[in-house]
Amino acid sequence: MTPIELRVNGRAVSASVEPRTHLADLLRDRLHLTGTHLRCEQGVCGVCTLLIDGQPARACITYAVLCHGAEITTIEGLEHDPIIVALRRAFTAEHGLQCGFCTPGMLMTARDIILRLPGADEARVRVELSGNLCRCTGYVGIVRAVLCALQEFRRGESVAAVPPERPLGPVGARPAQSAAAYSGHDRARSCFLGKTDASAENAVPEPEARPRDTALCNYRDPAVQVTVRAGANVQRGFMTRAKALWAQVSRKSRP
Amino acid sequence: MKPAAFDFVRAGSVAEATRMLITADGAVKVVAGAQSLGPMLNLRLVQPRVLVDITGIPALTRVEEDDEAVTLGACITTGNIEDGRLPNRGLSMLSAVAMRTAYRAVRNRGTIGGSVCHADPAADWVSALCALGAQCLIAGPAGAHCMPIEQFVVGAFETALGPGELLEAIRIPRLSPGGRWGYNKLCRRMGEFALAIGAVLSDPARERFRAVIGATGGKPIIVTDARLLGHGGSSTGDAFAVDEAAVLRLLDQAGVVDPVARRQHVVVLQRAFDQAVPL
Repeated sequence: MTPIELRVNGRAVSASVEPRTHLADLLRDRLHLTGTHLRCEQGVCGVCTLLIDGQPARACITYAVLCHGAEITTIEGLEHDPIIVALRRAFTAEHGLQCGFCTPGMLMTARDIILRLPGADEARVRVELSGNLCRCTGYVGIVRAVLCALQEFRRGESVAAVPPERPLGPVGARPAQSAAAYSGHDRARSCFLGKTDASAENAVPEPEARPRDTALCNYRDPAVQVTVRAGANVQRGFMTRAKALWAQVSRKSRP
Repeated sequence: MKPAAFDFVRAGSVAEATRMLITADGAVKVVAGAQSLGPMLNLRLVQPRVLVDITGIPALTRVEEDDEAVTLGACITTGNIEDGRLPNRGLSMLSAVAMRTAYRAVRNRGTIGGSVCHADPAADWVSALCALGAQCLIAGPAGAHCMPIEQFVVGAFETALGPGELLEAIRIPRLSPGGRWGYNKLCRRMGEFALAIGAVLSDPARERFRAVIGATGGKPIIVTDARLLGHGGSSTGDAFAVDEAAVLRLLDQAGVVDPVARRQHVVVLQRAFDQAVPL
Protein backbone atom coordinates (compact mmCIF):
# COMPACT_ATOMS: atom_id res chain seq x y z
CA MET A 1 0.00 0.00 0.00
CA THR A 2 1.17 3.52 -0.77
CA PRO A 3 0.15 6.48 1.37
CA ILE A 4 -1.08 9.48 -0.58
CA GLU A 5 -2.48 12.86 0.25
CA LEU A 6 -4.64 14.86 -2.05
CA ARG A 7 -7.43 17.36 -1.94
CA VAL A 8 -10.86 16.25 -3.12
CA ASN A 9 -13.46 18.95 -3.64
CA GLY A 10 -11.50 21.28 -1.39
CA ARG A 11 -10.98 18.80 1.45
CA ALA A 12 -7.71 17.23 2.45
CA VAL A 13 -7.79 13.46 2.06
CA SER A 14 -5.13 10.99 3.06
CA ALA A 15 -5.41 7.39 1.99
CA SER A 16 -3.37 4.28 1.69
CA VAL A 17 -3.88 2.80 -1.76
CA GLU A 18 -2.60 -0.03 -3.85
CA PRO A 19 -0.52 1.51 -6.66
CA ARG A 20 -2.87 -0.07 -9.22
CA THR A 21 -5.92 1.74 -7.81
CA HIS A 22 -7.07 4.30 -10.33
CA LEU A 23 -8.49 7.61 -9.26
CA ALA A 24 -12.09 6.71 -10.07
CA ASP A 25 -11.96 3.59 -7.89
CA LEU A 26 -10.54 5.61 -5.00
CA LEU A 27 -13.27 8.22 -5.36
CA ARG A 28 -16.14 5.79 -5.84
CA ASP A 29 -15.25 2.84 -3.63
CA ARG A 30 -13.41 4.53 -0.81
CA LEU A 31 -14.74 8.09 -0.70
CA HIS A 32 -18.20 7.15 -1.98
CA LEU A 33 -18.23 10.01 -4.47
CA THR A 34 -20.13 8.06 -7.11
CA GLY A 35 -20.83 11.03 -9.38
CA THR A 36 -17.71 10.06 -11.34
CA HIS A 37 -18.90 7.19 -13.50
CA LEU A 38 -16.89 4.29 -14.91
CA ARG A 39 -17.41 2.32 -18.08
CA CYS A 40 -14.64 1.45 -20.54
CA GLU A 41 -11.70 1.88 -18.13
CA GLN A 42 -9.38 2.42 -21.07
CA GLY A 43 -9.71 6.15 -21.60
CA VAL A 44 -12.11 6.00 -24.53
CA CYS A 45 -15.66 6.66 -23.34
CA GLY A 46 -15.08 9.76 -21.22
CA VAL A 47 -17.62 9.11 -18.44
CA CYS A 48 -14.91 9.27 -15.76
CA THR A 49 -13.69 12.73 -16.85
CA LEU A 50 -13.05 14.95 -13.83
CA LEU A 51 -10.82 17.90 -12.97
CA ILE A 52 -7.24 17.43 -11.79
CA ASP A 53 -5.70 20.75 -10.78
CA GLY A 54 -8.69 22.34 -12.49
CA GLN A 55 -8.10 20.67 -15.87
CA PRO A 56 -10.17 17.80 -17.30
CA ALA A 57 -8.54 14.38 -17.20
CA ARG A 58 -9.52 10.72 -17.32
CA ALA A 59 -9.86 9.17 -13.86
CA CYS A 60 -9.75 5.58 -15.13
CA ILE A 61 -6.25 5.76 -16.61
CA THR A 62 -4.82 8.04 -13.95
CA TYR A 63 -3.65 6.05 -10.96
CA ALA A 64 -4.27 7.58 -7.55
CA VAL A 65 -0.55 7.34 -6.65
CA LEU A 66 0.22 9.63 -9.59
CA CYS A 67 -1.95 12.34 -8.01
CA HIS A 68 -0.15 12.71 -4.69
CA GLY A 69 -0.60 16.33 -3.69
CA ALA A 70 -3.07 17.10 -6.49
CA GLU A 71 -6.35 18.95 -6.33
CA ILE A 72 -9.22 16.76 -7.54
CA THR A 73 -12.65 18.15 -8.36
CA THR A 74 -15.51 15.75 -9.03
CA ILE A 75 -18.97 16.62 -10.26
CA GLU A 76 -20.10 16.70 -6.61
CA GLY A 77 -17.67 19.55 -6.00
CA LEU A 78 -19.15 21.69 -8.79
CA GLU A 79 -22.66 21.84 -7.39
CA HIS A 80 -22.61 25.64 -7.19
CA ASP A 81 -20.09 26.35 -9.93
CA PRO A 82 -21.71 29.05 -12.09
CA ILE A 83 -20.79 27.34 -15.37
CA ILE A 84 -22.10 23.97 -14.23
CA VAL A 85 -25.29 25.63 -12.99
CA ALA A 86 -25.77 27.19 -16.44
CA LEU A 87 -24.95 23.90 -18.14
CA ARG A 88 -27.44 21.97 -15.98
CA ARG A 89 -30.11 24.45 -16.99
CA ALA A 90 -29.16 24.18 -20.66
CA PHE A 91 -28.98 20.36 -20.60
CA THR A 92 -32.52 20.30 -19.18
CA ALA A 93 -33.89 22.79 -21.66
CA GLU A 94 -32.25 21.18 -24.70
CA HIS A 95 -32.75 17.52 -23.72
CA GLY A 96 -29.01 17.01 -23.27
CA LEU A 97 -29.44 13.74 -21.39
CA GLN A 98 -31.67 10.74 -21.21
CA CYS A 99 -30.23 8.04 -18.94
CA GLY A 100 -27.63 10.42 -17.51
CA PHE A 101 -24.75 7.95 -17.47
CA CYS A 102 -22.47 10.08 -19.65
CA THR A 103 -23.62 13.37 -18.12
CA PRO A 104 -20.95 13.91 -15.42
CA GLY A 105 -18.21 13.52 -18.03
CA MET A 106 -20.11 15.58 -20.58
CA LEU A 107 -20.50 18.42 -18.06
CA MET A 108 -16.77 18.38 -17.26
CA THR A 109 -15.86 18.57 -20.95
CA ALA A 110 -18.53 21.19 -21.65
CA ARG A 111 -17.23 23.32 -18.78
CA ASP A 112 -13.74 23.12 -20.25
CA ILE A 113 -15.06 24.24 -23.66
CA ILE A 114 -16.71 27.30 -22.11
CA LEU A 115 -13.57 28.25 -20.20
CA ARG A 116 -11.00 27.52 -22.88
CA LEU A 117 -12.84 28.12 -26.16
CA PRO A 118 -15.39 30.88 -25.63
CA GLY A 119 -15.59 31.45 -29.39
CA ALA A 120 -16.27 27.81 -30.32
CA ASP A 121 -18.84 27.17 -33.05
CA GLU A 122 -20.92 24.02 -33.47
CA ALA A 123 -18.20 22.18 -35.43
CA ARG A 124 -15.61 22.91 -32.75
CA VAL A 125 -17.98 21.90 -29.96
CA ARG A 126 -18.51 18.57 -31.71
CA VAL A 127 -14.76 18.05 -32.06
CA GLU A 128 -14.20 18.83 -28.39
CA LEU A 129 -17.05 16.55 -27.28
CA SER A 130 -15.77 13.65 -29.40
CA GLY A 131 -14.02 12.12 -26.41
CA ASN A 132 -17.30 11.64 -24.55
CA LEU A 133 -19.66 8.94 -25.75
CA CYS A 134 -23.44 9.15 -25.37
CA ARG A 135 -25.62 6.21 -26.34
CA CYS A 136 -29.01 7.89 -25.82
CA THR A 137 -29.25 11.33 -27.30
CA GLY A 138 -27.46 11.26 -30.63
CA TYR A 139 -25.53 14.32 -29.36
CA VAL A 140 -27.85 16.89 -30.98
CA GLY A 141 -29.31 18.00 -27.66
CA ILE A 142 -25.93 17.98 -25.94
CA VAL A 143 -24.30 20.13 -28.63
CA ARG A 144 -27.21 22.57 -28.50
CA ALA A 145 -27.01 22.76 -24.71
CA VAL A 146 -23.28 23.52 -24.81
CA LEU A 147 -23.83 26.20 -27.47
CA CYS A 148 -26.59 27.78 -25.35
CA ALA A 149 -24.37 27.90 -22.27
CA LEU A 150 -21.49 29.24 -24.37
CA GLN A 151 -23.68 32.06 -25.60
CA GLU A 152 -24.77 32.87 -22.07
CA PHE A 153 -21.16 33.27 -20.93
CA ARG A 154 -20.10 35.13 -24.06
CA ARG A 155 -22.77 37.73 -23.35
CA GLY A 156 -21.74 38.72 -19.92
CA GLU A 157 -20.38 36.85 -16.95
CA SER A 158 -16.65 36.66 -17.19
CA VAL A 159 -15.04 33.41 -16.17
CA ALA A 160 -11.50 32.61 -15.20
CA ALA A 161 -9.66 31.15 -18.18
CA VAL A 162 -7.06 28.39 -18.13
CA PRO A 163 -4.46 29.42 -15.56
CA PRO A 164 -1.40 30.63 -17.49
CA GLU A 165 0.93 29.59 -14.68
CA ARG A 166 0.23 25.89 -14.86
CA PRO A 167 3.20 23.55 -15.13
CA LEU A 168 4.23 21.92 -18.40
CA GLY A 169 4.02 18.35 -17.09
CA PRO A 170 0.93 16.16 -16.66
CA VAL A 171 -1.87 17.71 -14.60
CA GLY A 172 -1.72 16.36 -11.08
CA ALA A 173 2.06 15.75 -11.12
CA ARG A 174 4.16 17.27 -8.33
CA PRO A 175 7.91 17.55 -7.90
CA ALA A 176 9.17 14.38 -6.23
CA GLN A 177 11.20 14.23 -3.07
CA SER A 178 14.37 12.43 -3.92
CA ALA A 179 15.34 9.09 -2.41
CA ALA A 180 11.84 7.69 -2.81
CA ALA A 181 11.54 4.19 -1.45
CA TYR A 182 9.80 1.12 -2.74
CA SER A 183 6.28 0.64 -1.57
CA GLY A 184 5.17 -2.84 -2.43
CA HIS A 185 1.54 -3.70 -1.89
CA ASP A 186 2.64 -6.22 0.70
CA ARG A 187 5.26 -3.92 2.18
CA ALA A 188 3.97 -0.96 4.14
CA ARG A 189 6.91 1.29 3.48
CA SER A 190 6.44 4.96 2.79
CA CYS A 191 6.93 6.01 -0.81
CA PHE A 192 6.85 9.72 -0.15
CA LEU A 193 8.81 11.73 2.30
CA GLY A 194 6.28 14.55 2.23
CA LYS A 195 4.92 15.60 5.62
CA THR A 196 1.39 14.54 6.44
CA ASP A 197 -0.70 17.58 7.15
CA ALA A 198 -4.17 16.19 6.67
CA SER A 199 -6.14 15.98 9.87
CA ALA A 200 -7.07 12.55 11.15
CA GLU A 201 -10.76 13.12 10.57
CA ASN A 202 -10.19 13.11 6.81
CA ALA A 203 -8.19 9.92 6.77
CA VAL A 204 -9.87 7.42 4.49
CA PRO A 205 -10.43 4.07 6.11
CA GLU A 206 -9.43 0.81 4.54
CA PRO A 207 -12.19 -0.72 2.41
CA GLU A 208 -13.37 -3.01 5.19
CA ALA A 209 -14.00 -0.12 7.58
CA ARG A 210 -17.37 1.64 7.64
CA PRO A 211 -17.15 4.35 5.01
CA ARG A 212 -20.08 6.34 6.37
CA ASP A 213 -18.14 7.23 9.50
CA THR A 214 -15.85 9.52 7.56
CA ALA A 215 -16.30 13.23 7.36
CA LEU A 216 -15.93 13.27 3.61
CA CYS A 217 -18.92 11.15 2.75
CA ASN A 218 -21.24 13.43 4.67
CA TYR A 219 -19.58 16.69 3.84
CA ARG A 220 -22.41 17.85 1.64
CA ASP A 221 -25.16 19.56 3.50
CA PRO A 222 -28.43 17.85 2.51
CA ALA A 223 -30.40 20.98 3.41
CA VAL A 224 -28.52 22.97 0.81
CA GLN A 225 -28.98 20.30 -1.80
CA VAL A 226 -32.75 20.12 -1.70
CA THR A 227 -33.26 23.86 -1.92
CA VAL A 228 -31.46 24.05 -5.27
CA ARG A 229 -33.68 25.34 -8.06
CA ALA A 230 -36.36 23.00 -9.32
CA GLY A 231 -36.39 21.68 -12.88
CA ALA A 232 -32.99 20.29 -13.61
CA ASN A 233 -32.48 19.42 -10.00
CA VAL A 234 -35.73 17.78 -9.10
CA GLN A 235 -34.34 14.33 -9.51
CA ARG A 236 -31.05 15.27 -7.93
CA GLY A 237 -32.84 16.76 -4.91
CA PHE A 238 -34.87 13.62 -4.54
CA MET A 239 -31.79 11.43 -4.63
CA THR A 240 -30.08 13.59 -2.03
CA ARG A 241 -33.11 13.47 0.23
CA ALA A 242 -33.22 9.71 -0.12
CA LYS A 243 -29.56 9.45 0.73
CA ALA A 244 -29.87 11.76 3.74
CA LEU A 245 -32.81 9.71 4.96
CA TRP A 246 -30.86 6.53 4.52
CA ALA A 247 -27.92 7.97 6.43
CA GLN A 248 -30.23 8.90 9.32
CA VAL A 249 -31.76 5.45 9.40
CA SER A 250 -28.41 3.73 9.32
CA ARG A 251 -27.12 6.04 12.06
CA LYS A 252 -30.09 5.16 14.28
CA SER A 253 -29.77 1.46 13.64
CA ARG A 254 -26.14 1.52 14.71
CA PRO A 255 -25.51 -0.03 18.13
CA MET B 1 -10.30 -4.08 -16.40
CA LYS B 2 -8.04 -3.63 -13.40
CA PRO B 3 -4.27 -3.87 -13.74
CA ALA B 4 -2.28 -6.71 -12.22
CA ALA B 5 -0.62 -5.56 -8.99
CA PHE B 6 2.59 -3.59 -9.33
CA ASP B 7 4.97 -1.68 -7.10
CA PHE B 8 5.38 2.05 -7.49
CA VAL B 9 8.38 4.30 -7.02
CA ARG B 10 8.90 7.98 -7.72
CA ALA B 11 12.16 9.25 -9.08
CA GLY B 12 13.38 12.69 -8.03
CA SER B 13 16.07 13.02 -10.68
CA VAL B 14 17.09 11.45 -13.97
CA ALA B 15 20.05 9.73 -12.30
CA GLU B 16 17.74 8.30 -9.65
CA ALA B 17 15.31 7.07 -12.32
CA THR B 18 18.04 5.24 -14.25
CA ARG B 19 19.25 3.69 -10.98
CA MET B 20 15.71 2.54 -10.19
CA LEU B 21 15.31 1.08 -13.68
CA ILE B 22 18.46 -0.99 -13.29
CA THR B 23 17.95 -2.16 -9.73
CA ALA B 24 14.24 -3.01 -9.98
CA ASP B 25 13.65 -6.73 -9.74
CA GLY B 26 11.56 -8.02 -12.62
CA ALA B 27 9.84 -6.18 -15.42
CA VAL B 28 9.94 -2.43 -14.98
CA LYS B 29 8.09 0.31 -16.85
CA VAL B 30 8.51 4.05 -16.81
CA VAL B 31 5.29 5.97 -16.27
CA ALA B 32 4.56 9.65 -16.88
CA GLY B 33 1.03 10.71 -17.85
CA ALA B 34 -0.11 7.06 -18.11
CA GLN B 35 -2.41 7.86 -21.04
CA SER B 36 -0.94 5.10 -23.23
CA LEU B 37 0.37 2.85 -20.49
CA GLY B 38 -2.82 3.17 -18.40
CA PRO B 39 -5.09 1.41 -20.93
CA MET B 40 -2.39 -1.25 -21.51
CA LEU B 41 -2.16 -1.87 -17.76
CA ASN B 42 -5.93 -1.90 -17.28
CA LEU B 43 -6.30 -4.42 -20.12
CA ARG B 44 -3.40 -6.41 -18.61
CA LEU B 45 -1.58 -6.29 -21.92
CA VAL B 46 1.45 -5.28 -19.86
CA GLN B 47 2.04 -6.55 -16.34
CA PRO B 48 5.18 -4.89 -15.01
CA ARG B 49 6.48 -5.68 -11.55
CA VAL B 50 7.43 -2.05 -10.91
CA LEU B 51 6.40 1.36 -12.26
CA VAL B 52 8.90 4.21 -12.05
CA ASP B 53 7.13 7.57 -12.00
CA ILE B 54 9.22 10.28 -13.68
CA THR B 55 6.71 13.15 -13.55
CA GLY B 56 8.30 14.52 -10.39
CA ILE B 57 11.63 15.17 -12.14
CA PRO B 58 11.84 18.93 -12.81
CA ALA B 59 14.46 18.47 -15.58
CA LEU B 60 11.98 16.59 -17.74
CA THR B 61 9.70 19.60 -18.26
CA ARG B 62 12.60 21.82 -19.33
CA VAL B 63 12.41 23.75 -22.59
CA GLU B 64 15.47 24.98 -24.43
CA GLU B 65 15.70 26.80 -27.71
CA ASP B 66 18.31 28.09 -30.09
CA ASP B 67 18.18 29.36 -33.66
CA GLU B 68 18.09 25.87 -35.15
CA ALA B 69 15.91 23.86 -32.83
CA VAL B 70 13.64 23.62 -29.82
CA THR B 71 14.33 20.97 -27.19
CA LEU B 72 11.30 19.75 -25.27
CA GLY B 73 11.56 17.75 -22.04
CA ALA B 74 10.00 14.31 -22.30
CA CYS B 75 7.30 15.05 -19.71
CA ILE B 76 5.80 18.06 -21.50
CA THR B 77 2.17 17.37 -22.24
CA THR B 78 0.48 17.41 -25.61
CA GLY B 79 -2.08 19.85 -24.16
CA ASN B 80 0.62 22.43 -23.45
CA ILE B 81 1.99 21.99 -26.97
CA GLU B 82 -1.54 22.44 -28.33
CA ASP B 83 -1.91 25.70 -26.41
CA GLY B 84 1.33 27.07 -27.90
CA ARG B 85 2.86 27.58 -24.47
CA LEU B 86 6.28 26.66 -25.84
CA PRO B 87 8.55 28.43 -28.30
CA ASN B 88 7.11 27.46 -31.66
CA ARG B 89 8.71 29.68 -34.30
CA GLY B 90 9.09 27.45 -37.33
CA LEU B 91 7.23 24.65 -35.57
CA SER B 92 3.57 25.41 -36.21
CA MET B 93 3.18 21.74 -37.08
CA LEU B 94 3.48 20.78 -33.42
CA SER B 95 0.37 22.53 -32.12
CA ALA B 96 -1.62 21.54 -35.20
CA VAL B 97 -0.78 17.88 -34.62
CA ALA B 98 -1.36 18.16 -30.86
CA MET B 99 -4.83 19.60 -31.38
CA ARG B 100 -5.98 16.44 -33.17
CA THR B 101 -4.30 13.94 -30.87
CA ALA B 102 -6.79 11.99 -28.75
CA TYR B 103 -8.97 14.25 -26.56
CA ARG B 104 -8.31 17.25 -24.35
CA ALA B 105 -8.76 15.22 -21.15
CA VAL B 106 -6.08 12.82 -22.43
CA ARG B 107 -3.79 15.58 -23.74
CA ASN B 108 -3.76 17.23 -20.31
CA ARG B 109 -1.78 14.26 -18.99
CA GLY B 110 -0.33 12.55 -22.05
CA THR B 111 3.30 13.51 -22.67
CA ILE B 112 5.28 13.82 -25.89
CA GLY B 113 8.07 11.61 -24.53
CA GLY B 114 5.62 8.99 -23.30
CA SER B 115 3.98 8.77 -26.70
CA VAL B 116 7.33 8.32 -28.45
CA CYS B 117 8.52 5.68 -25.95
CA HIS B 118 5.21 3.82 -26.20
CA ALA B 119 6.01 3.69 -29.95
CA ASP B 120 2.49 2.89 -31.08
CA PRO B 121 2.76 2.94 -34.89
CA ALA B 122 -0.53 4.87 -35.07
CA ALA B 123 0.56 7.58 -32.62
CA ASP B 124 0.70 11.11 -33.99
CA TRP B 125 3.99 12.12 -32.38
CA VAL B 126 5.90 9.17 -33.83
CA SER B 127 5.05 10.10 -37.42
CA ALA B 128 5.09 13.88 -36.98
CA LEU B 129 8.49 13.93 -35.27
CA CYS B 130 9.91 11.58 -37.92
CA ALA B 131 8.83 14.07 -40.58
CA LEU B 132 10.40 16.96 -38.65
CA GLY B 133 13.68 15.03 -38.25
CA ALA B 134 13.67 15.12 -34.45
CA GLN B 135 16.50 13.79 -32.29
CA CYS B 136 15.96 11.80 -29.09
CA LEU B 137 18.16 12.71 -26.13
CA ILE B 138 18.67 9.61 -24.04
CA ALA B 139 19.99 9.46 -20.49
CA GLY B 140 21.39 6.23 -19.18
CA PRO B 141 23.87 4.60 -16.84
CA ALA B 142 26.64 5.19 -19.41
CA GLY B 143 25.82 8.88 -19.80
CA ALA B 144 23.70 10.80 -22.26
CA HIS B 145 23.56 10.27 -25.99
CA CYS B 146 21.45 11.26 -28.92
CA MET B 147 19.84 9.46 -31.85
CA PRO B 148 17.40 10.32 -34.65
CA ILE B 149 13.82 9.33 -33.86
CA GLU B 150 13.67 6.99 -36.87
CA GLN B 151 16.39 4.93 -35.21
CA PHE B 152 14.82 5.30 -31.77
CA VAL B 153 11.54 3.73 -32.88
CA VAL B 154 12.62 0.22 -33.81
CA GLY B 155 9.19 -1.26 -34.50
CA ALA B 156 5.66 -1.48 -33.17
CA PHE B 157 5.81 -0.72 -29.41
CA GLU B 158 9.56 -1.16 -29.55
CA THR B 159 12.33 1.39 -29.01
CA ALA B 160 16.11 1.40 -28.96
CA LEU B 161 16.18 2.19 -25.22
CA GLY B 162 18.65 -0.05 -23.42
CA PRO B 163 18.51 -1.25 -19.81
CA GLY B 164 18.34 1.68 -17.42
CA GLU B 165 17.92 4.21 -20.23
CA LEU B 166 15.38 6.98 -20.26
CA LEU B 167 14.19 9.39 -22.96
CA GLU B 168 15.07 12.76 -21.48
CA ALA B 169 14.16 15.23 -24.20
CA ILE B 170 13.38 15.62 -27.88
CA ARG B 171 15.23 18.14 -30.04
CA ILE B 172 13.08 19.35 -32.91
CA PRO B 173 14.69 21.37 -35.73
CA ARG B 174 12.80 24.49 -36.76
CA LEU B 175 11.57 24.96 -40.32
CA SER B 176 13.09 27.81 -42.31
CA PRO B 177 10.80 30.79 -42.99
CA GLY B 178 9.84 29.36 -46.40
CA GLY B 179 9.43 25.81 -45.12
CA ARG B 180 6.07 24.08 -45.21
CA TRP B 181 4.58 20.95 -43.73
CA GLY B 182 1.63 18.68 -44.37
CA TYR B 183 0.01 16.29 -41.93
CA ASN B 184 -3.02 14.17 -42.59
CA LYS B 185 -4.51 11.17 -40.87
CA LEU B 186 -7.53 8.96 -41.30
CA CYS B 187 -9.59 8.03 -38.24
CA ARG B 188 -13.03 6.46 -38.15
CA ARG B 189 -13.81 8.60 -35.13
CA MET B 190 -12.24 11.90 -34.14
CA GLY B 191 -9.36 11.39 -31.73
CA GLU B 192 -8.98 7.67 -32.29
CA PHE B 193 -5.73 6.05 -33.27
CA ALA B 194 -5.26 6.59 -36.99
CA LEU B 195 -5.73 3.99 -39.73
CA ALA B 196 -3.28 5.86 -41.95
CA ILE B 197 -0.99 8.84 -41.44
CA GLY B 198 0.80 10.94 -44.02
CA ALA B 199 3.36 13.59 -43.07
CA VAL B 200 5.44 15.76 -45.37
CA LEU B 201 8.15 18.29 -44.64
CA SER B 202 9.19 20.63 -47.41
CA ASP B 203 12.00 22.99 -46.49
CA PRO B 204 13.93 23.99 -49.62
CA ALA B 205 16.23 26.38 -47.73
CA ARG B 206 17.58 23.45 -45.72
CA GLU B 207 17.32 21.08 -48.69
CA ARG B 208 14.84 18.90 -46.86
CA PHE B 209 11.93 17.20 -48.56
CA ARG B 210 10.82 14.28 -46.43
CA ALA B 211 7.70 12.15 -46.38
CA VAL B 212 6.47 9.75 -43.72
CA ILE B 213 3.90 6.97 -44.10
CA GLY B 214 2.65 6.22 -40.60
CA ALA B 215 0.21 3.85 -38.88
CA THR B 216 1.40 0.96 -41.03
CA GLY B 217 1.47 -1.48 -38.14
CA GLY B 218 5.25 -1.31 -37.90
CA LYS B 219 7.76 1.50 -37.68
CA PRO B 220 6.97 4.52 -39.87
CA ILE B 221 8.17 4.45 -43.47
CA ILE B 222 10.46 7.43 -43.97
CA VAL B 223 11.36 8.69 -47.41
CA THR B 224 14.21 11.17 -47.02
CA ASP B 225 13.99 12.31 -50.65
CA ALA B 226 10.27 12.70 -51.21
CA ARG B 227 10.81 13.50 -54.91
CA LEU B 228 11.11 9.74 -55.39
CA LEU B 229 7.41 9.41 -54.51
CA GLY B 230 6.23 11.78 -57.21
CA HIS B 231 5.60 11.85 -60.91
CA GLY B 232 8.25 14.49 -61.35
CA GLY B 233 6.63 17.39 -59.48
CA SER B 234 9.09 19.41 -57.46
CA SER B 235 9.34 20.61 -53.90
CA THR B 236 8.95 24.22 -54.95
CA GLY B 237 6.85 24.29 -58.09
CA ASP B 238 3.58 22.68 -59.03
CA ALA B 239 1.25 20.48 -57.07
CA PHE B 240 2.80 17.18 -56.15
CA ALA B 241 1.10 14.08 -57.56
CA VAL B 242 1.98 10.97 -55.58
CA ASP B 243 3.16 8.03 -57.68
CA GLU B 244 0.86 5.31 -56.38
CA ALA B 245 3.12 2.49 -57.62
CA ALA B 246 6.07 3.89 -55.66
CA VAL B 247 4.02 4.10 -52.46
CA LEU B 248 2.66 0.59 -52.93
CA ARG B 249 6.20 -0.75 -53.35
CA LEU B 250 7.11 0.75 -49.97
CA LEU B 251 3.95 -0.71 -48.41
CA ASP B 252 4.87 -4.11 -49.87
CA GLN B 253 8.24 -3.92 -48.15
CA ALA B 254 6.51 -2.97 -44.89
CA GLY B 255 4.13 -5.93 -45.19
CA VAL B 256 0.94 -3.87 -45.61
CA VAL B 257 -1.20 -6.22 -47.73
CA ASP B 258 -4.80 -5.18 -47.01
CA PRO B 259 -5.99 -3.46 -50.20
CA VAL B 260 -8.18 -1.02 -48.24
CA ALA B 261 -5.30 -0.01 -45.98
CA ARG B 262 -2.99 0.41 -48.99
CA ARG B 263 -5.47 2.72 -50.70
CA GLN B 264 -5.94 4.70 -47.47
CA HIS B 265 -2.19 5.26 -47.15
CA VAL B 266 -1.94 6.52 -50.73
CA VAL B 267 -4.86 8.95 -50.30
CA VAL B 268 -3.71 10.27 -46.94
CA LEU B 269 -0.18 10.79 -48.21
CA GLN B 270 -1.47 12.70 -51.22
CA ARG B 271 -3.45 14.98 -48.89
CA ALA B 272 -0.34 15.64 -46.83
CA PHE B 273 1.56 16.56 -50.02
CA ASP B 274 -1.30 18.85 -51.09
CA GLN B 275 -0.95 20.70 -47.79
CA ALA B 276 2.83 20.92 -47.87
CA VAL B 277 3.28 21.67 -51.56
CA PRO B 278 0.85 24.44 -52.46
CA LEU B 279 -0.70 24.71 -55.89
